[in-house]
Amino acid sequence: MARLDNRVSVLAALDLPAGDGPGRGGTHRGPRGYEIWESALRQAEFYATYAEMLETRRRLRRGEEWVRETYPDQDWVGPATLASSYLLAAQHAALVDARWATRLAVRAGTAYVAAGLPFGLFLLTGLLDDRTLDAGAVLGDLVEPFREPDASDALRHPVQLTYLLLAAASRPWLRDPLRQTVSGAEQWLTAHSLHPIGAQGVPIGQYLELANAMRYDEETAAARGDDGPVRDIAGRLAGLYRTQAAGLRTAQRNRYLWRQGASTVSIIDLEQVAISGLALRHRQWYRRLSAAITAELDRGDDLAQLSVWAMASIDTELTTIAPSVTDIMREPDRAWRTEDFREPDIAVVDPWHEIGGDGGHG
Amino acid sequence: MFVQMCVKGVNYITLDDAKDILRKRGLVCTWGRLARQISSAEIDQRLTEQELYLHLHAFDEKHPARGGLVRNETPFISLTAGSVQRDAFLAQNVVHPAHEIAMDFATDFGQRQGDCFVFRCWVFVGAQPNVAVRSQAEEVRELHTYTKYSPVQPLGEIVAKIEVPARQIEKFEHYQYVRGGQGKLQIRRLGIYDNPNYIDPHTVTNYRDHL
Repeated sequence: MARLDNRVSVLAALDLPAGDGPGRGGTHRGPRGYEIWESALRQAEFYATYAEMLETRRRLRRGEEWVRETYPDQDWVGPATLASSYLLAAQHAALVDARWATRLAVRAGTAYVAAGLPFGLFLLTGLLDDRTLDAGAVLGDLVEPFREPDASDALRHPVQLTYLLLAAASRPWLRDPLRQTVSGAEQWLTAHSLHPIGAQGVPIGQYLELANAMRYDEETAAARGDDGPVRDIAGRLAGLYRTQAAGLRTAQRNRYLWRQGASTVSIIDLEQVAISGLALRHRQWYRRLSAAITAELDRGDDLAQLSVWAMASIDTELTTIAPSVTDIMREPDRAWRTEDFREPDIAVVDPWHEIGGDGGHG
Repeated sequence: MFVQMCVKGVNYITLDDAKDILRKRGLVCTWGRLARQISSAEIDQRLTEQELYLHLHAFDEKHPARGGLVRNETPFISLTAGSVQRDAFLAQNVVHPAHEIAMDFATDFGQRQGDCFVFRCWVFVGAQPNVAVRSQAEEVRELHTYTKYSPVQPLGEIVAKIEVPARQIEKFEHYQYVRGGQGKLQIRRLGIYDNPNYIDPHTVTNYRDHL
């Protein structure tokens, strides 16, 4: 197994095998993975631009024209499109630049919260550490829409409630404000344990077990020793990532869509990345758990390491970009159009020209 | 049979080409455009499940039976109806509006800067699949290939055959995908062009308005 510990090794692992059948597959322009990097860059720019087009129209108070024309009775479509466009942009950007990806993911997270979806809170608490979340004094605003169990239809949906349960399991300080909403949720969700959740469509039961593993880790430690919870959680996460890798291998077979960055499966799935973030930040065990997950994946498909690598690359950059992330959370409507948040000119830098092949843009 | 409104993103054409498609030519499959003349017998030979599979899953590959690439030999035209359902959004966190998908295609997945076009049209979709029937478009609901991550194809793809006649195209929107001030990319809508010869789908369905 090759260790995916920098962007160059990740892009090489994502490349189609050389000489793999007829057509244009296997003909490489530049280093291995160059086409993947280039298409990720183009797609990230497209989805970010599309989201900003929606933002522009909001700002000018002309309404989201095409949304209103096409979906006149469905007010939720505009905010949903905005949030998911930012998410797709962030997922593509994760292969290009961790700082850019994080800022886009935070925009997505705040847009999901504004749309009333717990997935936004799950995303933000998974990707960001407590210090970054705390710095903006915005935690109250992020949690507020989910305090009352009847606040929105999203809170009665098994998938969205599961995200809330996972976030609360990871961070004890969330349990109190979310108490009313998540009270009894675990039992209710057990009846929905086969319901597919997220882009991977895994059964909710797998996420519930992970939430329980975090909530009751002290009991596991008492029964199986100090390393018991680490081994338990690492094993569960590795199982999720192997499933994701199998999906990616299937998607790779449609080489046209794969090369265009247009597969219907995302190479970096921020839901999976956020899950690892929730587990890694649950206790002071980041390095230990990260090493345990990597060890679990030691003899499997390299692509199963993608989420762990993406989480590490975001975590490395958090200190540098925390101020801009905080500003996006504090004033999401303003953030996108302020020059301070303008994205770096990423067109001219590629990871093969960076020292060590990782890191952001200078 | 029902009428399905669809959109299609088109690139690498000029504004004049787009007007010509709207008023005369309609949307024609690549095979038809390149061959210029195709016979009914040839069409029947190509409207098969196998050809549809190749169109969907091996678009850029060499055709296993013909000389060229599948993309140049295909009798099909990919359209999108989008996928915007509240329950699917709550379950998967992503919506795929037809306009956004069409714009992604129209910019060649973000690679193509400059003019691009989004056509709005309608096609007949059958109550059950039948690839051999030329006048019936197919709704692509892939239940087998990608089950690892999605119970259905999420993009709401509709596949028309041979052509979408100009009279079924309501209008096109002209966009530019360009770098503006400070080097940021922008999507600008430059205009909307209506088709004077458009036939409203209500006139061909079993819907009657009051008199």
